Amino acid sequence: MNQSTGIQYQLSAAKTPQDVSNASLLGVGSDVVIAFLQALSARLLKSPQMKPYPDIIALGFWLRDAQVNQWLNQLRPHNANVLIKPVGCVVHYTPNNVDSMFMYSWICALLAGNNNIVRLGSGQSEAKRLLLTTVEALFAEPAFHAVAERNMLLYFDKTSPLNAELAALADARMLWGGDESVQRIREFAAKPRCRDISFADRYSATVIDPGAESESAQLEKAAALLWQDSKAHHQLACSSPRVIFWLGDDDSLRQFAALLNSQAEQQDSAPERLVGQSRANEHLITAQLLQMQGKADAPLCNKRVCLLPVHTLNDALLAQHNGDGLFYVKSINNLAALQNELPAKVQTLTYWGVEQGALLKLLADPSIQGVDRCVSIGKALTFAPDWDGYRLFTDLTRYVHLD
Amino acid sequence: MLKETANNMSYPEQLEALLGQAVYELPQAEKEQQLGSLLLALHRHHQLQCNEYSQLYPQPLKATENMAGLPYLAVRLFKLLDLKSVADDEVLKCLSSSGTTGQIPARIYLDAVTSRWQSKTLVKILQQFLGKQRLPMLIIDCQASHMSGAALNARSAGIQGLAMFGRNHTYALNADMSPNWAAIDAFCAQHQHEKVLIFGFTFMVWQYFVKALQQQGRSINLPQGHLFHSGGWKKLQSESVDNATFKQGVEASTGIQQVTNFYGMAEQVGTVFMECSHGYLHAPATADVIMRNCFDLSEQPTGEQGLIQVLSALPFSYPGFSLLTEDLGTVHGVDDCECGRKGKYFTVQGRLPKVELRGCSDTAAAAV
Repeated sequence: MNQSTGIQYQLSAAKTPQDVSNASLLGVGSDVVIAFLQALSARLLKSPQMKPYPDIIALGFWLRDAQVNQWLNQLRPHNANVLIKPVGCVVHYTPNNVDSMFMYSWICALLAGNNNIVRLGSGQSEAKRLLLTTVEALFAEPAFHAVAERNMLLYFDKTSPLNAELAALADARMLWGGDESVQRIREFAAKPRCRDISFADRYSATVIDPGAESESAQLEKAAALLWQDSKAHHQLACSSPRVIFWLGDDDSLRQFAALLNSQAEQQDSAPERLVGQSRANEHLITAQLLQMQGKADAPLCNKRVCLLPVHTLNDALLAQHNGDGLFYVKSINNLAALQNELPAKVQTLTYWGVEQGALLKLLADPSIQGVDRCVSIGKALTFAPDWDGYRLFTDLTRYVHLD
Repeated sequence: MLKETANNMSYPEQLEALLGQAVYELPQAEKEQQLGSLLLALHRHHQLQCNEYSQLYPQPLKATENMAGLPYLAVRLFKLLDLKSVADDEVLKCLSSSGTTGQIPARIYLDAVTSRWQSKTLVKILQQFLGKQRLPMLIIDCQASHMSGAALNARSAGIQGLAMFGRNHTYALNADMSPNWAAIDAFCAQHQHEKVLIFGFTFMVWQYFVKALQQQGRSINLPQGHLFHSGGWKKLQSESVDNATFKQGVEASTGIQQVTNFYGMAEQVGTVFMECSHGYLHAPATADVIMRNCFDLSEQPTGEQGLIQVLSALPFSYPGFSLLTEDLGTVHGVDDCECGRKGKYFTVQGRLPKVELRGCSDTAAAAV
């Protein structure tokens, strides 16, 4: 570890962050970056050692050619009098809880032609190690030297003077990590025109209409997809649903609670089961506390998952939410009832059994400040360059207009 | 079926009747009825007197065959809420305990009646092991006047509870936790050939007494001493010190052959679970344990480890008669321990592991 900067890990062909920032820009969707991403995708999908890590496979699949081409199309100017150019040097502070998040943040900025300095989270995991080893091997290939000398992945001590240095180099900052982290990083003065893309504390919800005659096969499918959105990262990713809005009767809700629980139980691996030793007790504490405070009714289920009917959703209640299979449940009579339940903190709303048109109409209401993504259930965690209300390809590029 | 008003007796009458029983002679089937119906009465009392409790249990309880059907509270709630079932002006004292340093302490509100029952019950249980005579007492701790903050309340309350069984109270440690050799040597010289009572918290006995003796190459000799200790094995487990190692270490350094561990907590003072000569903890007539499956909180069968639920007949001024602890334990049998005591006997395996899950709010402190 470098004593003066506190750098404990550094991956780049450039020697210093300053060198990354000084290097010439490659331009939007350059051939070398596209080739780099293709090679990266191939290695993630084809190497047998990656197989056990769904995060890695998902990233490899996310980088498939058709998808990259679609993004290139989005990035390309649609008018002959317009140029789209990278903003320059992008500094990323990436989160600890999602192993692969640093890759998504980096790749979006990279595809837009920027040079990047990516501060990794402190969390250690095999998936993260494999990802870094793969990038390291690609950086070492002569064909990708142009990428390697313009990009740096590093981990440094939180007290490092590098924080101030990076702030001064950044033309844009991608600040993951929620309210507190964002505010702390912003204390370091950046250039006057630096663009900050900040990811604050958010939570997500799902709205489910079981239908008039709730068929159990259909309900089971909804339960499976909801669990798919919730089980990764212990339900703590901002886009994982923590709230269920239920458009059915109490019987169908009970049935759904049992189905969701059995889905969750079936999918637990042995290590997850071990981690889960304290889960039911933690959920019991939350449930009993909220009941004693008159904020909730008895849970519909407290086993692998806990479904807790709550009276009023608010920030305080969501601050009590510790993830790992806890769902606050609110029964509603119609979609319009959601109007007052979607404050600015709601990031993603997933849906099942609800008409898109009806949702669009609801979300168009100017009084609804929340919901920056509305996707069908099962897709909550699929990262997209349009995220959290930002359009990253727009925010990480300059729009040059010739008249 | 448990009935609330067995024999048309009030709660104090029922409790008096239970306390009148021999501490360890009530077979489990009878205990389920006697203690169970008393706990049912306590449930009703807290429903009527504690607002938070009635919010949690607004409905009458479903009929239940045995104590496993009674409701229970997560013990951590006493750290999060002020729970009491008596008027403010009836509160005699508030006992606070922090399990671990740095945590919010639990707050347990005691009125005069509850406090009196606690002392009475503890006396009955300990007399089974100590007899009725007060013994010279060596306390493996420093004087309360040297303690501060939460330690004062939790540790000194524990010491006070046991101190009534002793006389000539001698504190073995200085304020900085070093052995007070002068006090220890004087105590040993005076009482070497008598029955003496030694009490301390498990970790402190090991860390600041046994290890201090070992490190200084010293030993004392109290062959008629009886050491009682409690307070958890968490810190000792990290040093791979189990009950057997502990007993060997104590005997080698102090000559003390009788060593009795007990399990108890600030949230249920009075009803302690004492270790027998076969190494098992025993529920007295006034209390019981149920092990619950960590994953779904259902009752575990004998022999299977689970979260320890503790039930006690005493908590009247606060709704703590049935608590789900964060300790792991195993019931090894019912009514048939080789020591002859009736009821359930069990061991404690330690704390439920703490799992820290991280949210998005953690790029961290990247920038402090």
